[in-house]
Amino acid sequence: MNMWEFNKKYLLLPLILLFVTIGCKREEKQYVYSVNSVDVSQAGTEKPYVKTSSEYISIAYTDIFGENIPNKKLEELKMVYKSFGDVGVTEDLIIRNFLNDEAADLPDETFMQENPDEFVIEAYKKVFNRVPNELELWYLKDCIENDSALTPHVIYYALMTSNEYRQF
Amino acid sequence: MNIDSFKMKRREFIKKIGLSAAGVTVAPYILPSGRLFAQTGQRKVNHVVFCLLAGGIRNDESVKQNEGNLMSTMLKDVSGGYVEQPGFLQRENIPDNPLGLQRLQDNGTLFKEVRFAEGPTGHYNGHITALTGRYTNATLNLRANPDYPTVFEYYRKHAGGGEMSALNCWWISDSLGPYPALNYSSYPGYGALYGANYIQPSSLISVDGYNEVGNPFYFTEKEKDLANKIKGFCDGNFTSQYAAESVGIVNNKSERVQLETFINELFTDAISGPGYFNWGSGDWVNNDLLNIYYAEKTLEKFEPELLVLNLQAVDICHSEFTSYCNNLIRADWGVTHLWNFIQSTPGLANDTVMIVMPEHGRNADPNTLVDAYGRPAYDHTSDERSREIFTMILGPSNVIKQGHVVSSEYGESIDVVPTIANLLGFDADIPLGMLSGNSLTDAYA
Repeated sequence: MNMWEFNKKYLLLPLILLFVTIGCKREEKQYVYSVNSVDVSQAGTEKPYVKTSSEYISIAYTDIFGENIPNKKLEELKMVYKSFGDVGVTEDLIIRNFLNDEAADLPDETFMQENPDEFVIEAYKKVFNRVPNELELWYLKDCIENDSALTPHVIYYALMTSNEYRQF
Repeated sequence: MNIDSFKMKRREFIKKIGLSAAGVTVAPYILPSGRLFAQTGQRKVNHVVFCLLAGGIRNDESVKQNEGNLMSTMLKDVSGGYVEQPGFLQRENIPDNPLGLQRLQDNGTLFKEVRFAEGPTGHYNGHITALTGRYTNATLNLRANPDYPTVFEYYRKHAGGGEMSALNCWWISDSLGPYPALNYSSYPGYGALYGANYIQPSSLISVDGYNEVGNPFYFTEKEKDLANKIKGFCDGNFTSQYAAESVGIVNNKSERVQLETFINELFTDAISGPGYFNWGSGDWVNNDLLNIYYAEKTLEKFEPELLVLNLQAVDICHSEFTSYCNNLIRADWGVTHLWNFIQSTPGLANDTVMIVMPEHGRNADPNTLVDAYGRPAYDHTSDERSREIFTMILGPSNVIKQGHVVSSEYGESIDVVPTIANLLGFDADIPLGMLSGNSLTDAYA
């Protein structure tokens, strides 16, 4: 046996032993206990769909007048809605025209001042189809209690021209 | 070379390069126009008005003047001028030429033989082709925005680095139907964010329009502030779900105030304006002229850099050829009135190019209908004649050749978008492959 063959033999042996050891090692299962991540959101706040012009107009009419929109009025409003590119401008004008109508059925200012909680909850249920969360209730109640210039018209206008009102 | 002098030169070089780089970085942000980024090309003018003389007009009745000169304010007489025929408007009922003795074609270049070369010769196809610079096919969806970017989007995205106000860009349509959807496309990277402001005046500024949006509740300034505060709070809670462009073109808050003021001014003008649409008797004025009236109001109010309007009353040719001819007379007068208005308006005069083009022609052969004067009616069903159109380009003499006429075949309807892009200096910024047409450079001085 020459020196080269001797080295080769003694180098290969540990390597083979190493592979055998690794190959025969028992896999220890490791268990990790945790909670799956869950997206938490308030019921009714997920609104992924944009309202069509018909939906926007019909819902806004019902929210303000408390009754279904007559077909002729819906057709007229749809025509106006389609005749101007920036629907934000058109929607703003439509809502303010509704609010300027004597038949607009909004709670009066006295009720709002005396029952701010109830007013805010009812407004959210009517406009956003959900109850306000604690922050929303506190914020609007605070606005009502601390600013005498705030009227039901202002609040309904703000809610009905907000981005959430565009979607459902 | 001395080592020290080499070091000095190297330092100076680095310093100069640094300053140049800083200059290149900063310069686009401080443009006098207020734009964030400069467009690549040189503008020829600052305003372009594109009048789609649409509805389907045959070259036979326009530039060839087979029924006499029905477009006598725009075109020079080929032979005998206007010929009063049974059923045609009487000469005394046609208002005077707004340009006096001059004809509109004296103010620019007339291409007599332009082609709508491909795709169905339908009105919506023709409009899309003219506004996107791309031909369409028969699978066109009438309920959707165009598949490819409109000239409005190219303009707002590339002429202003995406910062161009939508008030600079208007689409004024004569009718509803699918036409409101032409102010922006569904093409990725373009879309509503770069769309044009849109108005269909005869629907909005109407009795119904006034009843529905003309009498809004007005809040005090204090109430407005409170409403904005509450709205801001609500929007802040809904940011993750809301995509503004999903509801179409969006102007910022101050622009929306200007738009509401504009609408109110138009209502006031229509109700009590002393000069409201006093362009002639009830028999003379029609919806095309009303659309031109409101295009002029828009130009006057906003001085937009790009405005496109359409006229389509001539489409009555499907059933009444005589009315088609009369509406062509009205459209001709209206287009000349529009040009005269532009030249009379400071800020627009001598700085505006106006392009006039039908979206397509009409068939060579009539359909089966005959009108009260015994004249047969014509449809537009993609025969060769319905692909023949003309184009007129008007502008300052240092930009557009004056009194120039090209009688041979030249240009296509897909060439208008590249021409507008070239005139407003952003053609080089449009990504390669988006447009296959060419600028109508034969019109350039």
